[in-house]
Amino acid sequence: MQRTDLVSAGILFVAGLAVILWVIPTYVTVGMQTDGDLSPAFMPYVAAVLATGAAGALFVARLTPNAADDDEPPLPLESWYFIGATTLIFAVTFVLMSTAGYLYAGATIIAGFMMLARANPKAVVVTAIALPITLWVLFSKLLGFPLP
Amino acid sequence: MIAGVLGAFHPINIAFIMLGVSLGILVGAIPGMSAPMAIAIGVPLTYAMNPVSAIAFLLGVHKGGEYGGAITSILINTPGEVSSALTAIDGYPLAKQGKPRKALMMSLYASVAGDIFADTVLILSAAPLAILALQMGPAEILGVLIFSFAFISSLLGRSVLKGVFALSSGILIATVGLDIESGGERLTFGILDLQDGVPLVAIAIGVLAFGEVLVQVEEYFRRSIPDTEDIQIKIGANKDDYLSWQELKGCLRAILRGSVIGTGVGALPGLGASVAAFLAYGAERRASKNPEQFGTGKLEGIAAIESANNAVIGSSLIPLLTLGIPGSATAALIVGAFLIHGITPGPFIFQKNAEVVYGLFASLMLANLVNLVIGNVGLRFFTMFLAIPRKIILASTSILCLTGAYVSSGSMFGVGVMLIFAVVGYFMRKLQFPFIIFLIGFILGPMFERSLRHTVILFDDPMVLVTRHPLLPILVAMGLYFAWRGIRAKRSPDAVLSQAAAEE
Repeated sequence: MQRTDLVSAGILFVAGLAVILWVIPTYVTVGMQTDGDLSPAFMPYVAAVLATGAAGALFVARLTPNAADDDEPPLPLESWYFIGATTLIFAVTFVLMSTAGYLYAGATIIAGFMMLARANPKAVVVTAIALPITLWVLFSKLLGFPLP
Repeated sequence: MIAGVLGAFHPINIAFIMLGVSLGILVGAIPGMSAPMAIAIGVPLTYAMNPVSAIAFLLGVHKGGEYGGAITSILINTPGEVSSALTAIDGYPLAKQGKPRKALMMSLYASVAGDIFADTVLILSAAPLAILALQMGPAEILGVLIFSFAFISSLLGRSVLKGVFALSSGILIATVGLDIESGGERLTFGILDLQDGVPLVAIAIGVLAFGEVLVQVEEYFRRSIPDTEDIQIKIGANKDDYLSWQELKGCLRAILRGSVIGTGVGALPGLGASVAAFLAYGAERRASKNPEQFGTGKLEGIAAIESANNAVIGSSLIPLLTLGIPGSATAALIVGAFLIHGITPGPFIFQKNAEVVYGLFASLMLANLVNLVIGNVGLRFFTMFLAIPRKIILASTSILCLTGAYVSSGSMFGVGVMLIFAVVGYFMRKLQFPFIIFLIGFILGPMFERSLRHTVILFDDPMVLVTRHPLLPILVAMGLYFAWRGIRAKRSPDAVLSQAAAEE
């Protein structure tokens, strides 16, 4: 966990600096300000400085290992494969829901995650077909929430 | 007031309460699922309901969900959330001794007792507090929020830096959108949908529900857990497995202690059921003549935890109805339901929507009765759902999250936000950043900024501020005191337990 904390804290610290030095100055505009009011950029800066400071302090604090650290990293290589697969499923689901509709997106997200969970192929097929149809009927026809 | 109370007894309202409680018990009883997840997904469903039924439905889900979490903790030692994890400490050993029904019944009666206590405090105190709250200005609200943030940090123990990061990240995300005071754009990156800010329901579904789904699916992916889990504990196998009146009477003190703690914790903005459960368990252990027996099947342990985590539900409505400040992440989601129906929680709600408020009070009490009956009668039915393969449950949850995100926002923007924050929620869990604290920062951040800016506008001179509004420096001092105590006590067992609660 120590190594993971160091890497994550380092990345978050650099990201925080980028937010403070570039994102906020570029993407916060001042509209009509009341006399004596704080700038609209005040709260984003406060939050970003606190977050960046915490990340930096975490990095420094974790330079020393502590007794609670265990050997197994929380994000081994397998986890990164899983994240990659998840990102792909999310992207396909989003595109399908925007273009082809809810049923195709629902089937994709169910099938994708059941396959990642190593489910029985028959269960994957049945669930991926039955569940989106059931929910589409429930929401669109019975509850009156039209789904794409 | 009478019209509101009578409205609660309308058959449709009662039906929604029964549906909410049943759904809550069902969801809570499924391993890996929790009441906050169900509420996050359920908020969009309340569009079609009237305001009282909508809120009563969601609160029914919450009340039922806390008891449902105890079912899975006691029977298979697999809690859906942290507050249920504590129930397993004494509930599971008792179940293994052949007394699962005893543990479940104690959990149910303690849950309902905690609910009734907190709801009674809410009903009796909300209106008078609302009158007091009308006297409170932005300076006092600022003080309450600073106290809450400092108190939360006092519970973080070793994880104070991760907690501060999570809290401030949530506040930063909450600044996205048009600035209310000046009209300027903040961090919208030219995206029109972001001018209204990041949608709360989408972010909550992503972080609370889908993030958890991703973590659990990954466990199967990495083959970290077995494919099948059998329920090995059967209810009713032992003819002596029932809760006697003597045993219930013996736990009344624990139930009362848990109810008081839960009510107090719930009334403070930013805390939640898990913190209440930990504090109640610690207090019960310290008060016991035989603390070494805790963890071996002690009924008082179950009673204290369950009464505390349910008491939070009603009392978290106290700051919500009186100040407009949600007492927990779940209460913040319920704010969403209020706003959907055009009702703004806060001290004026008693003047503008009194019928809704009193209807809500009556519905809360009805929900307690419904929880008692359904929890008792439907126990065997709910435990059947433990047999559904978890992979199907996870797949169902994923599509429900997709559906809920679309329905809540009416567009693919909400779906996109939900998917992004699902990944954020996954990483927060894996890297042990407290995601609940992140949500609290997101929810309370705008309120904090608004009260800070109004205070700055109204008071140029700090001395005038302090003398005219002494509550602000008192609350700030109290908050700093608790934060200092918390950081100093970080090595004690209770602080470590509380840290786990804050991390969730």
